[in-house]
Amino acid sequence: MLSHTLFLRESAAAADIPLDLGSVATGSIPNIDAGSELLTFTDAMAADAIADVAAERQALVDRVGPQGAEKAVGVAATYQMMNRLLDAVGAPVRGRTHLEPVAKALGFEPADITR
Amino acid sequence: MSRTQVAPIAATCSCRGVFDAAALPPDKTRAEAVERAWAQLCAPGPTLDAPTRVRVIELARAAWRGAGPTEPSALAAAVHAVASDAEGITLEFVEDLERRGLPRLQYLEVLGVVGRLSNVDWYLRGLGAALPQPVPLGLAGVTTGRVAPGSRLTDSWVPMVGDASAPHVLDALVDEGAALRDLHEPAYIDIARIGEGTHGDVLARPQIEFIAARTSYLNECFY
Repeated sequence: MLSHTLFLRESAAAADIPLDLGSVATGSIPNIDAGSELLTFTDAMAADAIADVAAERQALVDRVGPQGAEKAVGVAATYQMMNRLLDAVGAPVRGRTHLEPVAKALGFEPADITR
Repeated sequence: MSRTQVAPIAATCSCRGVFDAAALPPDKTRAEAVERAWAQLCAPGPTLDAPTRVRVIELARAAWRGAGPTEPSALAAAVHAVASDAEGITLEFVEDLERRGLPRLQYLEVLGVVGRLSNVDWYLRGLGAALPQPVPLGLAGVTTGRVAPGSRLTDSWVPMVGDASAPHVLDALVDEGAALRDLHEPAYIDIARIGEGTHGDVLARPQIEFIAARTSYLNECFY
């Protein structure tokens, strides 16, 4: 989460979008295009391994179109993979000091991150 | 379908047919990447033969349906943990697997299979497509043996080529590392352009990164 929250901060800044990074953790609607639909769809994809996400997908299609929604599916799916791989190999997070401000923005104390 | 109903299992033994009935059409590049990934998952690996990799797929899907470990082997324990509680895996757990007969490189292959399977299955479910049935594409006892020379324990729990970095965590197993990138890049962004804050495609970069960050937060992956 920390690497991609950093990328989120940088890309939002590059687009002149004022963004509360805390929305990654709190589940509040992010200040990005289709923020509400992206949040709802992302949470639905991550909540459960098997349940149908038809309603959330359709809401996203209605907002960003089928190609945008399909891309969102791809990103959500590939991060199921990357999250498992990085956790299961014990990829270190502590010591990556450039991520500490991001950790704090998400409500974590860097010293409390055990990996 | 209500949220409690499960995605159906397709009757075919290939990935190609499942896109035809998807509620949301796939992007051609991503569909081809998923097709390649599926075939590679069912084929012989560097340390696990094809029937064992298919068994890993079956065990992971059982875990996602809520089953506990269905057999007492170290391999089954590894699959269950990676599938359902990767954030809870510890060095002690990995060491215990090794004592129970699952060497680190086999563990790495297991997590590579389960990881890439999660990408495939979540992608298909997200499109409203059925899941393909795995069929071994190789004989029992046949493995490729392709391990990167010089791979060793560095800053993580498994052999690496260099320090652990996101697109290269499977590189000790040469073909698995390539397969990971082949599946990940079309789904995320061109890794060569990762430093470009304005780069995006059908979604803008902030939208892409929000999905990645939020998913990782919900999965408790701090990386």
